[in-house]
Amino acid sequence: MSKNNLKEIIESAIIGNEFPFNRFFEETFKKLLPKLTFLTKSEDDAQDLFLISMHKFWDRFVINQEELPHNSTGYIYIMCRNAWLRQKKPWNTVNIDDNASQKYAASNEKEYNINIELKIHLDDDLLKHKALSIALEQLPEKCKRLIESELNPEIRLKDLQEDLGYTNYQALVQAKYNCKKKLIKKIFEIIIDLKKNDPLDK
Amino acid sequence: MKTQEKDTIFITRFFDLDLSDSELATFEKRMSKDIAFRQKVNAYEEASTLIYTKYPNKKKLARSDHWKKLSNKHIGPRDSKKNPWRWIGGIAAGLVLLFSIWQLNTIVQPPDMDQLIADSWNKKVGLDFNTIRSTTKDSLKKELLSALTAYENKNYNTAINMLQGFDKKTLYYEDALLLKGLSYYKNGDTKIALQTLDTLSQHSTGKKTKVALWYKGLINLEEGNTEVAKQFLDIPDDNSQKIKLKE
Repeated sequence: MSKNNLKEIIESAIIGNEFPFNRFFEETFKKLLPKLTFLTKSEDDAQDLFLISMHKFWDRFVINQEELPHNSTGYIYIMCRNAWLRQKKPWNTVNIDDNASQKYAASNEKEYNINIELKIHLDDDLLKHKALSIALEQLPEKCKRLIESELNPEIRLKDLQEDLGYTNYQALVQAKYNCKKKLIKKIFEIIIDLKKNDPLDK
Repeated sequence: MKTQEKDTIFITRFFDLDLSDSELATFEKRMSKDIAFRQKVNAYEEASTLIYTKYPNKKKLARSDHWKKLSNKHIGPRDSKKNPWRWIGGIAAGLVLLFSIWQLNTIVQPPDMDQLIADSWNKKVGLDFNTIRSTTKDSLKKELLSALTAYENKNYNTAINMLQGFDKKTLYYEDALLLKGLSYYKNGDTKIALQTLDTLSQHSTGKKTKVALWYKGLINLEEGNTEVAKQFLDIPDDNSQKIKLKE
């Protein structure tokens, strides 16, 4: 698939015709299935990886319109390898002498451990939601409205377009994608900060 | 650039599935040895999961369902040995997906363009050569039917070669032109296909003009040239109607 052909496919998808992209999806899947099955040892896992990667491909190249890769099939394969590492998490089998595991190991009393785990779980949920509310406060008003439109089926993005002053629908979809990314980054930074100040994490 | 910023960019790129082979190796090494880095990655994953769970994208869910169907066509029967937790997870995910699709159906129902186009091709407009003009099977008709068989068996080059000999003056010239145009398209020569259909649409008898315009529209639609396709076709806004030739 040449870069120009891919460009045409992406342009079609941007204006709402997903058919050429779906054909590209199917063709690429057929090409990569043997390699992905070899990597994961299962066709099901290969399919999962491919779907995850193509959603990201869509987000980045159709919605965010990043510069297209020269070799799309090769690039999608590398995306799948990223996704595979993210799913497999081989580092979880490696023990790091971290504080949390020391805390669990410190007590042999089962009930005490359960209480601590429950508290950590509740604290963790609380911390994430605290991070979310702080991050939302820091977002520009436009971003907040775009993100919250996902929760309200009554709100149609096309109606928001004029209201928020976007010149076209694509610009609005792209803005929403970037707002979500901004929000994730803010929450990530706030979680890191809050965890630094969490007595359980010391 | 500070280490903190570099790490954030590196982690963000990992979640964008954008790391190269060598960067993946570095990433894996750091995850195994650097507790602070691992905590950052976990924090990013928590933030990302939180947002995608709290603000699910309905179009993405619908697309996911469609892509799953498309890819299912190319994989064998499901693995029989399965971890039961994966089944439970799968059922739960399925229920969430069903609920989301139900929600989606109550909001917007855009047409499934793939299905509409596939249905339109399946109509095989203008390709019923068995009933054309004469009931006798003269040699030209036999040749045309053989070319049609080759086309239906996806031997497009064979079909094109068989159809080269049809002279303008022969009885089935327009049928041959149509089949040749479609064979070129299926063979990947979109430009020649459209030129052939263009010639057919302008043929003096006009017998196949509508058929040629129908396929010109369909090919343009399939190739993503929606605006051009709309010059020839009425494209519906929902799944309850079919694509029609513009009258």
